[in-house]
Amino acid sequence: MKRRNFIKTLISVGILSQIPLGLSCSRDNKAIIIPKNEVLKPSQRNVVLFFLNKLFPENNGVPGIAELNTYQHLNNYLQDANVDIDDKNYLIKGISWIEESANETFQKEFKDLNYEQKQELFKQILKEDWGESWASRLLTLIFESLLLDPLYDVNLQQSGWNWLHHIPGNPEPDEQNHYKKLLAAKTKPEIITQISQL
Amino acid sequence: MNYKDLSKIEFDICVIGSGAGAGPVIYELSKAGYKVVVLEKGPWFRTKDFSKDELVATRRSVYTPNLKDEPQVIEQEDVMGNWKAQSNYETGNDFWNGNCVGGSSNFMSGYFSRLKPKDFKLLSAYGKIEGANISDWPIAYEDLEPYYTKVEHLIGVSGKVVKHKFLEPRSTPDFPYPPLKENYVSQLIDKAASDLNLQTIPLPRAIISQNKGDRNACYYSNYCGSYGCSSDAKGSSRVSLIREALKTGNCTVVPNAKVFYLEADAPDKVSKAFYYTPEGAKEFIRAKIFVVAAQAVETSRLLLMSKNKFFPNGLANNNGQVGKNLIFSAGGVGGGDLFYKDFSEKIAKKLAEPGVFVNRTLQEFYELQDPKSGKKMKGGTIDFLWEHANPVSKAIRQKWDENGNLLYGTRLQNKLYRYFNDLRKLKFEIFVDWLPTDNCYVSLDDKVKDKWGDPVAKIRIGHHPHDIKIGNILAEKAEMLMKKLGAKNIYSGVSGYPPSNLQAGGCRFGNDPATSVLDKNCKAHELENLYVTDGSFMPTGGSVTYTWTIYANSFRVADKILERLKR
Ligand SMILES: Cc1cc2nc3c(=O)[nH]c(=O)nc-3n(C[C@H](O)[C@H](O)[C@H](O)COP(=O)(O)OP(=O)(O)OC[C@H]3O[C@@H](n4cnc5c(N)ncnc54)[C@H](O)[C@@H]3O)c2cc1C
Ligand code: SF4
Repeated sequence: MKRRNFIKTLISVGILSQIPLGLSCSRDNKAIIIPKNEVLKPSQRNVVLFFLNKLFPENNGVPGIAELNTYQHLNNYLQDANVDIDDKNYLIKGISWIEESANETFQKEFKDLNYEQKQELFKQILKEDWGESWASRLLTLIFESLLLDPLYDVNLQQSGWNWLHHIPGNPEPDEQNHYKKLLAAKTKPEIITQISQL
Repeated sequence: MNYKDLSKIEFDICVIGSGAGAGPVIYELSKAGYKVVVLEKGPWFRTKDFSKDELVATRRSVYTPNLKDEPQVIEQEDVMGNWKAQSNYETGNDFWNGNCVGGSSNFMSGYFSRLKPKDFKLLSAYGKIEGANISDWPIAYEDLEPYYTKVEHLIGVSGKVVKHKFLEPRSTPDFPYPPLKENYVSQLIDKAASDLNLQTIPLPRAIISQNKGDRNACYYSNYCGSYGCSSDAKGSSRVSLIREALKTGNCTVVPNAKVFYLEADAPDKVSKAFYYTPEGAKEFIRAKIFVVAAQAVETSRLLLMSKNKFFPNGLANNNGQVGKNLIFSAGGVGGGDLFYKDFSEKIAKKLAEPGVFVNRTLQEFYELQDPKSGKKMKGGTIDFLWEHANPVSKAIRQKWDENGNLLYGTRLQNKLYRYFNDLRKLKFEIFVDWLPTDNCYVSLDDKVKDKWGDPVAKIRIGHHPHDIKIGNILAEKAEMLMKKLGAKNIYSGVSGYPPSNLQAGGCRFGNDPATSVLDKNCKAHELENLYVTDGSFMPTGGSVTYTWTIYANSFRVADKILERLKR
């Protein structure tokens, strides 16, 4: 997919359906947990982490992407068979366009840029329609990691909720009604004839 | 028991779908001792499966199908006046609602209003409107009144009857359940309305405020619409009707059974309903009577898919009426921000109180006077409610600055913090009559197929300009009230884009088979054992949300079926 076409698809698929994605970057991040079953290559991870930290830096009292475990959330998203493959591909394609842009602008790979160059690239990309759309998806994933239930290994120690003084709903989800369990119920053969089966 | 065993039984009634339109028939027929089987395309989520999990409720496809597997095609008019059809897999314009036992009624907010006597005869009461296919109902308000009352008791409706200009005639003095607890803002709304010489009324809810059998009263969870209820206070058809039907021993529910074909082996009789099992096998059910209640769009789709030599254009469709005159409960939305700093600390604290409801509606403008002709015309309803507490969705709406640029970093974080802590958004929803037109209908798409290879529903979503005219009049009134009560950043949006969760029509009822699919008892004119009991029967929808009427009508049809079976 070319960058321009990609914007079109994004506007129609991503924004309207509010399908998620997130990120950010500061110089001295807290340690990011690298998922065991990581989908992205280290070079791609590098790009994503820079953007995640930039979009949502850790600040006075504001939890950063390490505390929110955003990268793990993004990895889960990429592995979720219930998430549309085009949406996942879109996220990954965005990374390669950023890598291309690094080459076009600085004739260097993203990993070889210094902090100032990365910063410049970030600003330049956000001025592009495709870049803004892609970053917006990352922000949606960041927001999910900020505000979804810690059951999903995000919003660690409720740091997102605490920061925004958000009161979660009751009951909170648990292992019994975990997203994956409910998805599994959708393919369960069952015939119910008695109340005791419920 | 397995799927093959089921196909050996001849049931009295086979019901397709299990939502608001299906529940009353399932309940009444099981209670009366008839053998009922329910084919439901989604799973049976138990009450313990529901929690306040935003990931499940709104962020991923759990209660609705994945659009890659089961797309629908939406046809919209572009600025040049051309109709453009696009799969919602590409656009995300999802017209699926709750697909599980109990259907969307599990996830509704339960704002409940009756239609008014004149809503049953819109054409005679207000006259023709060019370009709209308005027709009177073949029944009157009086025919439905006892069933509205039945819903109040069986589903459980809470509220308080207050005399007002458009109060519907009632056979009982008040609701069986007292009003739910209210937020302080309801008093502010009443005061602002009264200053403007308007009368606000308490909005009834399909939520019980006191325990009822094995259902517990509402505990004000703060996450109601789009979420399943953990106390069973919400009047879903699953807890209020189907669970009760199961207790009779006469009801069999087959979840994850997607019906794709109704077979008619005689010109006037359906004999079998074919469905896919979760493993993808094709099975069937035999029954004496078939009742379809798959929600308006999918009901029309199923009939259109069920072609045979007697019905080459789809079941009950020899007059080309199936799918036509689809309607929505719509009008517009708007709101304004209540900044805590604009109130005393004590009042601000009360406004911030989560869980308790707004439950206010304005029906003062249910009838309007046309400024040009001076004639009476149909107006609508304005409901008030808090912005949903869903935090991810709230955050997403803060992503952009006033010029439409993406915010990030500290600016974004400051905006988020302020939004979550400095204010509460009060919203309003406007409901006008969505006029039925030739440009709002369901057909089958000839290219796009679902994961089983079946043609998907193509939904043309045109609207009548009159809807916008009335919507704008009401939006102006709502904004006036918001201003009076001290809201800031007031906005409203009136559009012809329909809310996908409030659908009806497509198989309207009437006395003339040339212009309707169903007779006045919601039996297909052309078939002697096929009924439709979801919102599809409605030729017009009144200016309120539909579900109370859908429930009530399904109870009425259940009585008609019982009368027939007893004969
Ligand atoms: C978030 C939300 C909020 C709402 N709030 C309100 C409100 O405040 N007030 C109000 O009046 N209404 C509200 N509604 C609307 C209300 O839920 C519906 O009007 C009502 O449930 C419609 O009843 P139904 O029987 O037509 O459809 P549903 O209740 O949706 O039931 C249809 C059932 O049919 C099943 N089905 C579909 N196709 C097939 C097939 N081929 N085979 C087998 N089964 C099939 C579906 O899975 C579903 O379970 C809301 C809806 C939603 C989603
Ligand atoms: S407890 Fe009350 S507010 Fe919560 S989902 Fe149930 S009915 Fe709605």
